[in-house]
Amino acid sequence: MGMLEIRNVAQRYGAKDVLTSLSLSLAPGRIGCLLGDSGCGKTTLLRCIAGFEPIVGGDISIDGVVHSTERSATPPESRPVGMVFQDFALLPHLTVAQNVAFGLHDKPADERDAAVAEMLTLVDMHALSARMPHELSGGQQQRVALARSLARQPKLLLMDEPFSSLDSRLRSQLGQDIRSVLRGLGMTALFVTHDQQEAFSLADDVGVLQDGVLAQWDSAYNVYHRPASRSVAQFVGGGSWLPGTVVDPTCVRTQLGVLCGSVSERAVAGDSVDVLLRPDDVIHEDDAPMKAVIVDKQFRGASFVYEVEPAPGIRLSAIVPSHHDHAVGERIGIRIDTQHMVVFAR
Amino acid sequence: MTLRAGTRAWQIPAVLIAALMLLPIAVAVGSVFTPAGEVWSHIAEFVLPRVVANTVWLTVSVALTTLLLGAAAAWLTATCEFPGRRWLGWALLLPLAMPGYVIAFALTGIFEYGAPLSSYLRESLAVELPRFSAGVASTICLSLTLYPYVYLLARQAFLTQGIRSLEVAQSLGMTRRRGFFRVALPMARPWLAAGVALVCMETLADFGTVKVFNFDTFTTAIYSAWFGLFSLTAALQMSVMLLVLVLVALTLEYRFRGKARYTSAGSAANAPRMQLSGGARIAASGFCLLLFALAFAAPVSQLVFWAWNSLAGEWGARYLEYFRASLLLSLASAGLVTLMAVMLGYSERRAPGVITRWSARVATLGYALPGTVLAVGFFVVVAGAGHALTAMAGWLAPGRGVTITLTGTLLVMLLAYSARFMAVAYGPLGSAFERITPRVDDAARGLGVTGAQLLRRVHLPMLRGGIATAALLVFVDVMKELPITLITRPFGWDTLAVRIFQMTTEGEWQRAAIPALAIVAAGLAPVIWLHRRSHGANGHA
Amino acid sequence: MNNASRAALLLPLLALAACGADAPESGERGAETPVAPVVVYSSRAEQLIEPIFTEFTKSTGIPVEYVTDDPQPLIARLQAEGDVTPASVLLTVDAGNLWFAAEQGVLQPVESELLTQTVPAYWRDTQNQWFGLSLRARTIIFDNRKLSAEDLIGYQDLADEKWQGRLCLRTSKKVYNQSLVAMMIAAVGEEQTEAVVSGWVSNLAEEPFSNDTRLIEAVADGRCEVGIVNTYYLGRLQREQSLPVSIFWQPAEFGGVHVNVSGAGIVKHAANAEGAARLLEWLATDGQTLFASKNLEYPVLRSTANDPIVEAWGDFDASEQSLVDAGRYQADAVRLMDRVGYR
Repeated sequence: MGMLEIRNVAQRYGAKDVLTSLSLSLAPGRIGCLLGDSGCGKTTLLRCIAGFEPIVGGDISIDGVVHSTERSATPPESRPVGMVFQDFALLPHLTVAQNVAFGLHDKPADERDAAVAEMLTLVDMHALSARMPHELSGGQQQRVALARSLARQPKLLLMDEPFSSLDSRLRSQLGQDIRSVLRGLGMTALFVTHDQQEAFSLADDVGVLQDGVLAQWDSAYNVYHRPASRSVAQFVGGGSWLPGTVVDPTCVRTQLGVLCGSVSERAVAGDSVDVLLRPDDVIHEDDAPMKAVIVDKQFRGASFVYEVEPAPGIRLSAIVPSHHDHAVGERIGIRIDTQHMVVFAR
Repeated sequence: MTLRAGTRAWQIPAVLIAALMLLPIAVAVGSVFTPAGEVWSHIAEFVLPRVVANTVWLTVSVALTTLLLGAAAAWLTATCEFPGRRWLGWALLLPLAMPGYVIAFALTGIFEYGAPLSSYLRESLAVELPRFSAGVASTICLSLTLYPYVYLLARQAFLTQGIRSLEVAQSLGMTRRRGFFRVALPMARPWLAAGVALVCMETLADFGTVKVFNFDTFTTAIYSAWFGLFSLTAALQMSVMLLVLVLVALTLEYRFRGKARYTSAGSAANAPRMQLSGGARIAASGFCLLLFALAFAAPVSQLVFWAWNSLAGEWGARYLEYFRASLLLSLASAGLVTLMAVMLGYSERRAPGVITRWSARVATLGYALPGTVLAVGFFVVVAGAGHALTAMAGWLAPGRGVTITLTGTLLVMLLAYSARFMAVAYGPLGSAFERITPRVDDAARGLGVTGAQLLRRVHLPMLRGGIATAALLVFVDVMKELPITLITRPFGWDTLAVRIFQMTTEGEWQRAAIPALAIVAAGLAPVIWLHRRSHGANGHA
Repeated sequence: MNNASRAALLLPLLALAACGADAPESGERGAETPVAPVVVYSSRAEQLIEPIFTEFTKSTGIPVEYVTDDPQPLIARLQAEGDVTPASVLLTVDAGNLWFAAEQGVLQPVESELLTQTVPAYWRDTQNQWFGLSLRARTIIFDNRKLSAEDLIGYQDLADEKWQGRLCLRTSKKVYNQSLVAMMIAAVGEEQTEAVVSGWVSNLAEEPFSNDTRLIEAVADGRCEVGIVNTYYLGRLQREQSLPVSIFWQPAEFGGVHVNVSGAGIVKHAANAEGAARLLEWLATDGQTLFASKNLEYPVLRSTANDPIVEAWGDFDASEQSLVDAGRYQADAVRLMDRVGYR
């Protein structure tokens, strides 16, 4: 039984379906992430879980208790849920400590003060407890917002695009900090983002939400390497599509030769398919027999991303360690590593 | 706080504007050094005790009533869904275009003892309408015309952060009701405070409305000292007392606000409005409708009725002239005053400190002065400047007989309006400025955007809502303004308000209905435009 | 401050200065005519003076320009403008205001035999700095369903306790009442006046009204039986409907009817003193009928014909007490009324 169970949830704004028969389960202590473009419905789902919006079908239960059905909904304040808003939504008229204490209004003062101190220490903001929110940096506001939500000891923490307003360097550091805080508390958390790096680095379980449909809900590794659909594959990680024909259950014939690896089981010899080659599947080896012309390159610090043309009309991306510095127009050797071959029928 | 030299330069525009706005007030303050003699002992013994008590009572009751009406209406139309919500959203702004004394005489016309409505109720149903005391009647009429100041500003706050603040509260375990009082209201406080401050100043300066009900306030006492006791000195000295009162109030308000500077807790562009339950829907609709009916529909109907009766004798081509003058003056001063208020707010922001803060405070004082006192103060200064320039011209070019008259020029008229209405423009802009967080500046500077560029590319776009509100308020206020217009207008610049004055000085209230309606009509367009604008800025709101 | 922001500061001011320069200093309406216009500062409302000035211009060829405002701001304006004022004539209601203007030194004595002969001495300034041009009688009205003229004696009698709860008055802040009380102070002394006014206040049926029209309507509604108003307000109402309200004139033996004037004087630094004198003379003679009847007032030239509504009220004996007293004692009157709590 998951801490969060969502079954066949539907939501509609007027005539527009925002969420369609959506189900997922998040086990206690896991950090889940919903990944999707803006407008895909991920924030709506979060708001439905928090109780800000009613649902028109299915049900949502938290810790075994049903909180939303199409007929009834527990008000947000009665759900064991904490929420960190996208813009942190600190109360501008209260100090840091007062913000954290805000949700503890029903606790006795001494208990409240102790909890506030504990939370602020947890997020390393104790020294700034008398500051006003506008005196804080974005990262600091984020920590306070987290402390405020955690202070109520929710069973489930929801975070809406928690890092979108922070700069990228701060983002990964803060992400790891928050992850360790949540881990330390054994907190179950669900956050939404449009940034797959964020999703992969923070989440145990990742869901890809497209047009209100949960296209896949799986471990981060599987979402990348075993995408459930062509569009999930395209959305997560990207890569190049290579047309081919199935030779046998493990091999596909393409313009670049026969590629073998794990192919979808339903593939039957003779089927026309597309093979997804991720940038990390294309390996550069100076003495490899297959040669390709470099048409573009991007420097990424530790690596280059080369756009190469092994044959006319076929273009692949390759991630190459950055000591292999080749010029655009040069011919280099490449090898296709087909250990994780993602194949979809055409 | 120490400021860099470049930053200190930003104090200059603030001080200049404050100095300009201070001119008419300086005349009043100068009067303090002239003894007014026995007049004062009389005023102190027989007049002040009553008018001070009356004024405090009126200001507090109007402030509370407008706060209640304005905040409630703003909350309902900004965050809830109920029948009529869309049109009421802008319709509730319309009383802005109504001068207080017009509502006063129109409502009196409807509800007074001999009026058809009360006669009917008395004769057919044996129901006697309650007779309100002068103070209560003044409170009702002032509140009905002034609540839109609170409504307009509070609505801005609630539209941008109303629902969101409730959600924050709910996510922290509070009910909506509790969240409203603990989060939504406190967060809207700078807007509410700005609105109520305008209401208080307007109430303190009001003469027209209290005059209709013969309610004695500080302002009527000032006029009484001047017109009845023939002591302009005593009148000016009483005005200074009023100013000191206002300054103290403003300072207290600032202290009270303390460190709680206001930045938004985020916007909830996606948040849907609250769906009210059956009873609550009806109550919400009913409240807004009743407010609209009392503050606008009923008085306007009465005006239309009167206007129809006096149409033949009163209507004529001259109304085009009045309309044109009103419109031009209102537009020009809306532009000028808003511009100066932006510069004032901007200076305060770029060079924060005692100098700019007091500049802003001083520059906005003129709003609380009775209009005629301010107008005369301004006139005296300008005429003095004219004399001085004439003397200078005579010295530079002897025997040429050059005289320089500044009085009776549009420039002076617009400056006088600025002195009066700076507070009206500064209020909403001040709140808007506070919403631009220091981080925004840092971010922009980080991109190499500084100085005038920062203003033009970052702040002005972010201030757009505040600027529009400021300009609208000044526009409708100038449209209604009377004493300054009377004394400073050049020949041929009679406005609609002047026309109302001509009629009401002779007690011909019914004939004043046509110009009053014209003022309302001229105010409609900008009010609706403002609403459209704020509508568009808030997505599907 | 950098250049751009400095320009932002200066430009609007320059633009405004340009607007200011466009505006004519003293009006353009008469600019094309060779005859210098007479500029009038008037506290009489536009609709009451505009037709009269039109008539004046028609018969004399002298154009008139005017600015309307309350009397005190107009006097303050004349003082501030000093010798560069565009105004030549100050026209205002109430002798108190005219007296105050003379007192402030913004008017000049006028040597005009015509004026001194037409306007009785008690309706003009002792130094001829101002002249009453129309009479406004402030008298007693009564509910003719409950009372007849025999029940009434005069202003002071309304302080008698038999009028307890039957009297209505307009606010003491209106200059008409201030003048009425000021004249009473001059006539019978402050002590007796205070007793009278305090008697009035204790007889009030309702809080003082903000204008005479409301007061008359209250009498017509039967909410009070007697009141004190300017007659032309009754006249205006009677133009539209007949009311159960009659007028009572205090007889000459008790001092006659309190009258006030609307009048005018020539401004000390008059730009066009000659034209101003012509205007005053014309108003006192040829313009009398128009000037007075436009507002249902009484002409100072008593031989002039009246509006039928005014005729119907009958003849009265006007007080011949000098109206200079109205100004001289006005401040005392205001203080007195404050003291006895007459709002």
